[in-house]
Amino acid sequence: MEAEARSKKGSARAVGVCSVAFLVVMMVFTIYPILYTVFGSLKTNAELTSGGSFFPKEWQFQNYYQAFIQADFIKYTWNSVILAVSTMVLAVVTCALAGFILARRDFVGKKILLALYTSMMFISLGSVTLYPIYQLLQKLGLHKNIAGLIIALTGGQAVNVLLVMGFVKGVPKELDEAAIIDGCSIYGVFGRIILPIIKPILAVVALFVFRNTWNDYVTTLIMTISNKGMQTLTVAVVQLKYSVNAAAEWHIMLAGASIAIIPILIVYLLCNKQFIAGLTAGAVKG
Amino acid sequence: MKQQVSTEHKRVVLKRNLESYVFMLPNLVLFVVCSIYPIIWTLKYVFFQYGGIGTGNPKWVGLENLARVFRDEVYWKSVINTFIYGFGKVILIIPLAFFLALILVKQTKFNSFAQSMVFLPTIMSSAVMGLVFYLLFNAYNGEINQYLLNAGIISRPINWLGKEHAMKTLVITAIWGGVGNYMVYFIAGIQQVSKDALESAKIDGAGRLQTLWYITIPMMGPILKIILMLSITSAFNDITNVMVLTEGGPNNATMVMALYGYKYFFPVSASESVIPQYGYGAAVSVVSAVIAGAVTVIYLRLSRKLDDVY
Amino acid sequence: MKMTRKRRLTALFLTGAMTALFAAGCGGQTTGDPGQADGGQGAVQGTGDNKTVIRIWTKDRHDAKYIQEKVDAYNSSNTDNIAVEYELYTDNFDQAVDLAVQSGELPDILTLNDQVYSQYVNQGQWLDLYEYMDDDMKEYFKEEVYPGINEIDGKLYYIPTCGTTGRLVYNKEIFERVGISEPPKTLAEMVEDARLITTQLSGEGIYGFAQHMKSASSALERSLDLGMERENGVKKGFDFAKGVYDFTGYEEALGYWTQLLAEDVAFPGCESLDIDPLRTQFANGKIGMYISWTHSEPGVYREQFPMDSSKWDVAPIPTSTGVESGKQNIKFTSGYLINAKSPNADKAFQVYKNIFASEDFLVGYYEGGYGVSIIPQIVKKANLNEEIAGKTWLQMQDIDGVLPMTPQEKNVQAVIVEGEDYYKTFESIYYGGADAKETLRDLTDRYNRAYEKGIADGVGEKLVIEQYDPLNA
Repeated sequence: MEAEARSKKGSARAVGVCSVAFLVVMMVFTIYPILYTVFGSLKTNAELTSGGSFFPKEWQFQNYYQAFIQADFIKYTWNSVILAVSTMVLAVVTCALAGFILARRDFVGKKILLALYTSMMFISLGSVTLYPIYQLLQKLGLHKNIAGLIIALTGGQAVNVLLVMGFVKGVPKELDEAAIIDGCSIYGVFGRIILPIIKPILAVVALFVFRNTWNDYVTTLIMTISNKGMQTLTVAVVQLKYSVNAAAEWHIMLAGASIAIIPILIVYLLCNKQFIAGLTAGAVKG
Repeated sequence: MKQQVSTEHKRVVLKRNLESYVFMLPNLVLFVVCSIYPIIWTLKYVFFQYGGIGTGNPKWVGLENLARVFRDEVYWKSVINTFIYGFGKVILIIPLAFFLALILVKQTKFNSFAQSMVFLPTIMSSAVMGLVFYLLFNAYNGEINQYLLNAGIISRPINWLGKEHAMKTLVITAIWGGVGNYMVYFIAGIQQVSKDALESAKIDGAGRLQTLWYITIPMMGPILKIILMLSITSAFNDITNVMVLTEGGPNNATMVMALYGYKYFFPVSASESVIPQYGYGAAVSVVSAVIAGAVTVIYLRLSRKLDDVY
Repeated sequence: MKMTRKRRLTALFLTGAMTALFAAGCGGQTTGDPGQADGGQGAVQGTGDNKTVIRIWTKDRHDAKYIQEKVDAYNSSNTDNIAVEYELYTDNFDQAVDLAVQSGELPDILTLNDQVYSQYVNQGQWLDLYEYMDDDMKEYFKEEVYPGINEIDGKLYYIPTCGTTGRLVYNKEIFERVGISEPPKTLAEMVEDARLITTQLSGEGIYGFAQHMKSASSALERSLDLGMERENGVKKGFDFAKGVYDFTGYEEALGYWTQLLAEDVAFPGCESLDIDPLRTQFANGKIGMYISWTHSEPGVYREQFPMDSSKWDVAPIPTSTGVESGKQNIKFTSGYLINAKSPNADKAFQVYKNIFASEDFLVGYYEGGYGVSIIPQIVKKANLNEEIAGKTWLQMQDIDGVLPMTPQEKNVQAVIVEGEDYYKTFESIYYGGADAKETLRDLTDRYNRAYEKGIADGVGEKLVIEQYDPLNA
């Protein structure tokens, strides 16, 4: 009996050691590229390309100065912020309104709309749809305008609309009815009753839309091909790879990459709980 | 009197409908512009040959574009690559994420720190990180090879982005970007496993591994289904990573079907120029969408069958 | 009562916020968006003192500094009240032009790009320079008129001032170290030399041969294409004498390329290499030889990745046979297209003439090593810097000539090939181990089918040049 317990203890310890080792390996795996980016952005190009120590020998903060001033990153940062915030606002507002009404009212065409929104989860033509979208925006005169880019980046939001709808359905209808008896219009019900309750899910939508817009590459790239003034950090950084000086400017590339990831990193540090919770909310409902 | 009621009723119905559409409209406009219109456009151009403005009008070619998709060997290679990529990713990422979840499920300070570290890559831009990986995996002076060379593990640089390893490298980066996501799903799943079941197993004297095998894993069913579903759909749509890291090369070794359609519309890299073939590109995309849709539907059917088994 | 008002206000705010967003979508010019203020459009509106703005798009960065100086000088000195804006579009140039044409926002002047030129030349997009050129100017540039290329139906669309062609670039020190006395003339010698270097020096990280094979088209356009033109007089697979595509002659050369790119010869990672990383490694003395354009390399090793000029030289691209059966094409760099649909086309021509067609500019350009002049007067006048003067093969020689355009070059939409283009198909031979004979036969079929289909559809034309002599095109 004792021996058995001991062996159990032993095997438990073995499992424990393995788990810790596994965890350490996985953590190094996930964090290493990010640390490489951040520390690499503070090295000289020679140190980067000839391979050296993990930490910079001398901290080259002027890399950032170069990225911001010479590579125009101030402008790109500004563009990224404007775009991410406006897209986030537009997505949240439109999803909240649509999700609410789909959950609460029956109206002509609702069934068709719901079917269309749901089928979007199964139909994916990928990025080729950017071409017709670009053409349409051009016909509307929006292709050179930041508004056009915001529209393209916000998109149909089908999944988020359904997510909000599901959340609203979870709110007892009695609340609405009581408000209506109090003399609330449907706008009032939305603004006074539902909106405060669905804040958590809207926060999730906001967070994810913000992240997606900030990180987006393909859509922004295509939409800004003939209008570089609107490029975002993500696009500008990746395009550095193709620039003539790319090979001589790894340090600038990494400084640019750091500039692109640090803001989202800060957002993450502030709301990583929401990120993680939001993910499960999305998965379970979606 | 009766008539009055019915017009009154009509008025109310009309008002309610109008109100509803006031709420729907903002989203609906975006939905039509960015989701419906492009689909109709693409479906239309499947039947045309068209090279864009300045190349003459679109020309009706009937089913020719579709027929060409079925003859196109490179396309089918890209379909196979997509499956290799998807399976490679799923097969590795699920056990990794599951073990991480098992280790980190208990709510301690350290665990939540470790969780956020593992989750960190999922918030990063896959394009920007694709660029970083491009530098890291560089054959001649990337840091990965330098570590391996310095450590004496290899004697000649590994050609990470070469034809033999490019797909593996791509899968590694996909795992990097996704493992945190799936870990979080699994943690949610494990937390749902009822305490009672675990308690009674303990009382019955089941060891840790036995509990894991007989209780926890079988109860992962529902969450696993969601995870698989998500990993399948995401595998069909990942193109940013491929675009930035390997551009589909070398010799199409990492060409995936989403990128193959894309390259008839836009240049895959800035150093490449493109001869636009919008009609053919549309046909490729539609066939790809059908393949992806079919796999999803088959998966849903199968997983429902699995439900019956459990 | 108060409550309802508040509710209404909330709802109003939301709808207001939305409409504001959409309104911004329509009249956004006034919102002072930062992106546009710096972009071309914004600046056009921003120049207050009623100057005519002439916008120029370029895809070249290597000469950007030189040209910007000239543009600045012009901007501060010109009396025509013109402000020139010189914008760099180094990546996605073709695509940017396509989109700009669609939306009618093409700039006034563009640097020459073959595909862009051919695609829009028949739509009347480019200005006929003859309309504005005076007799002196016509006389000055008469040697640069190539019927069928830049002069079509009596209209002149651009004047090429510089040209480039491919050469083997090699590291003299490395060659000396392993005892290679002169650069290889045939591909067989090239394989042998490259292998020798790799075998002896790979321990030091030095390899015999590299090419940036990440983009097959970019790599082969400057190497294999040109070699084949000299080897059997076929340009980009097209046989002008017979008027058909024929890739079967590429087999031998591709065999050597397969060897050059094999692991025991090539620099590791060629498959995923871009040209600039390659150049840094060449400058670091890690690469024995590679093939590239004559116009770019001197500038690169002087400014971008400094390398002692005495350490490297260039030689003709080796061919399978070593026998000259044709000339290799001179590709025009440095030409300018003027947008005929620009409301300021006349002023654009002024700008073009005063900046880019001035002798001072052209001489300085050649002397500065930004391009290799093909204008005899300029070549005579320029004091060549040592780098170019000392490297004979950087200049145009007897083996170089201006070849006619193939059907696909004339109009890309006339030869829409099913499956991969020939560059990518070659990739399947040298990297994929596909059977060369079979693959090339299939490739030839596919190109000819596409070519004939283009003719049948009325998009392309049959092209046969009677008694075509590749050595005297």
